[in-house]
Order: sequence, then structure tokens, then C-alpha cells
Amino acid sequence: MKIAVSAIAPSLDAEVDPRFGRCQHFVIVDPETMEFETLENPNVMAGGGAGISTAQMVSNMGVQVVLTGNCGPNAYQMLSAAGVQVITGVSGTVRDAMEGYKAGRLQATAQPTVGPHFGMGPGMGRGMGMGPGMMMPPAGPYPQAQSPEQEIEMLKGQTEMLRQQLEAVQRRIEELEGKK
Amino acid sequence: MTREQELDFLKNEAQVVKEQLEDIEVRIKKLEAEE
Repeated sequence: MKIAVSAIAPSLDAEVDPRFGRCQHFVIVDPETMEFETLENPNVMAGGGAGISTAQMVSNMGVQVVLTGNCGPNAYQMLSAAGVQVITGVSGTVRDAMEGYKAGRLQATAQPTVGPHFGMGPGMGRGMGMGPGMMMPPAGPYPQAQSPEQEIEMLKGQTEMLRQQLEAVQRRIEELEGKK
Repeated sequence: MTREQELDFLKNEAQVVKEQLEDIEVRIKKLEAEE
């Protein structure tokens, strides 16, 4: 059995990347032996269609389960159609995620958790020519809020998600600065 | 991507996320005030 975990670095001790389509790496783990292989996600900078491309790539690798932070509708649909179970809301390290999965603490997701294009940002900055960036959540709440109370709840959920992303980015910055 | 490019990229992303958090905070306060 193969389980793909989205991660910010190619290691079992890396933090789970909260994005699926534009995650930086996948760590593909055999839950029985904890042997793993890593895959750099070529769609990390993709302007559009990252979710579908990544979902195709993952399903082509014979993965049965995906553990990630969030998954958009296109990727979710593609993975479901390919018979890949999607588990979202996963955080901590890849190793933690695998332990949670093996202990039955993680539940399969019944629907996408973010809107399309989640993880796309406004760009890489002047002159880098690297296309859109990452991390921008949908412009509005998703799905559409029916009442102010629901919108507040959704926004609070989005806040939590963004805080996790920010922490992951800051940890990676510290890691990179530490290597200088 | 070089380490420097990744750092620039991540710093930019961190700034974007911080701004989004601020926007959401403002929206939540506004909605709560309307209730």
C-alpha cells in the first residue's frame, strides 16, 4: 500500500504541506514498513490546473490514500474517480500523519475543503518571471455562506488554515536561513 | 530554484498570508458588529 503525504520537504520529519495541488513535495510511504520515496511536485508554481495535474501524477503512482491539509474540488474529484481516498485537515510532520493514519485517528474527507485555485498567490515579485505564487485562498468564503454566523465560522476556519500555512512558511524560511 | 529565490518567494508568500489574515480579521469584526 502507498500513502502520499504532501510535505514542505522530502523527509518523514518534514511538516505536512497544507496545500495539495501546489505542495512542494510528496512523501510516499508504505505504512507497514515506513519505507518511503519522495517526489518533488512539478506543479508547485503552476498557474492553473495544478490540482488536477497533481492528482493525476499521484494516482499514476499507484497511491491509495492521500494525506494533506486541504484539497480543492478538481483534485478531489480526480482522486475520487481514481479510487484514491483523500484525508484532509492533516498537520504536524509526515511521520505524525502516518502514525495518526495507522492509529485510525484520521477520517476520509467526503468533499473538497477549499475552493478551486487555492494556493495560488498574486505572483512572485517583480521580474522573477516565475508565474503566480502560492497560498492565496479563494477570494471569498467557500462554499458560499448562507448567514453571517456561517460566514464567521468559515472565516475562522480559513484563519486557522492560513495560520498553519504561515507557520509552515516561516519554519521553512528559518530552515533556509539557517543553512546560509 | 536557488535557495535565495526560494527565500524571496517564501517571504513574499508570508507577507501575502499575513495580509489575508488581517483582511479576514477585519471582515470577522465587521460581521460580529452587525450581529
